[in-house]
Amino acid sequence: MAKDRPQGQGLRDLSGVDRVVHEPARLMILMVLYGLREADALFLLNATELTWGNLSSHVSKLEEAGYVEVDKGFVGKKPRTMVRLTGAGRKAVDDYRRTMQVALKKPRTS
Amino acid sequence: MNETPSLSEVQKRTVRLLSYEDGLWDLLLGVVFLLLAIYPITRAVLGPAWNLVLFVGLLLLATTIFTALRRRISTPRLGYVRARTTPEKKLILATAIALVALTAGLVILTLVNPAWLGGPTPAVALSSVWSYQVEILVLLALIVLFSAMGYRFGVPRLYLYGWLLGGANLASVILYRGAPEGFNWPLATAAGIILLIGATLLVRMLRRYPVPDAEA
Repeated sequence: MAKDRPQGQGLRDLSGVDRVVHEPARLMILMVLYGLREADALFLLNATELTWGNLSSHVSKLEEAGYVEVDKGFVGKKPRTMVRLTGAGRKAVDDYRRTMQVALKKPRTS
Repeated sequence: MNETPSLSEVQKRTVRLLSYEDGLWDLLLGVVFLLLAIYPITRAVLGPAWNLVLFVGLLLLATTIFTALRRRISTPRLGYVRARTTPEKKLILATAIALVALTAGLVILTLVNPAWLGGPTPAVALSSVWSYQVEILVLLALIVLFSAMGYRFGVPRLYLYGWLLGGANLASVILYRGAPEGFNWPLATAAGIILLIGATLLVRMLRRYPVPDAEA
């Protein structure tokens, strides 16, 4: 438990924070996917307000890390890329949130 | 993109984009209350049972058109998602459906104004606030329901809808008690305002989100 840790432990945890998750654009993508089963690239584009190029590059990095799965398919003649969070991705978001909460916890002023 | 929003803000934005950005939900809501505005007229013509059949039929038709429009117009512009179902989400959905059904039932009840409901005659219409217990309950239910949705999903116009529809329902009961067979102007006005907002949002969505040629 965080409250049993010695002082400064929360800040030391920051050095081990997952840098794949820590990047703001990737964090946004993960947060959008966190509440959904899956979303297509167009929805992610609108929800995160990234550009196509940025979105594609960040999704690729998340895929390499094993945090998202990407399925490329077609709806009629139009291509549709579906992205979903993996179990590892969900755990990474939970761990990241816990780490940041501990590190950024306000000190008690007495 | 200069800042990273909180998880709850991102999730609110996701829900807004999924449900409220295209104005179709507003249009459906407006149509439902417009149907309720003509409910007393059709009831006088068809009788209670057939009127309910007509109302449910038109409601199903409106919902089908709404779903088709969302698939044809909104999804190619805003994107496609599949929602994640958790026990907590199922409970929230079930509660929301029960509350909506209860509120709709109460609205119809106040419009139909059966004899056993009691209440004052037009002559003593405004003499006592407490004689409007059921109507005030509907007003509060609509305000609480829409405010809760507005707060939960970060959609401020839903607060307005709660007051608008609750107020319109109360006004219609005060105006038409004792003679509930006519066209319900307060509800129709409220529905008209909501339809106007929905249409404006739909036009804004069509302009803001053109259909992309292909995924880049």
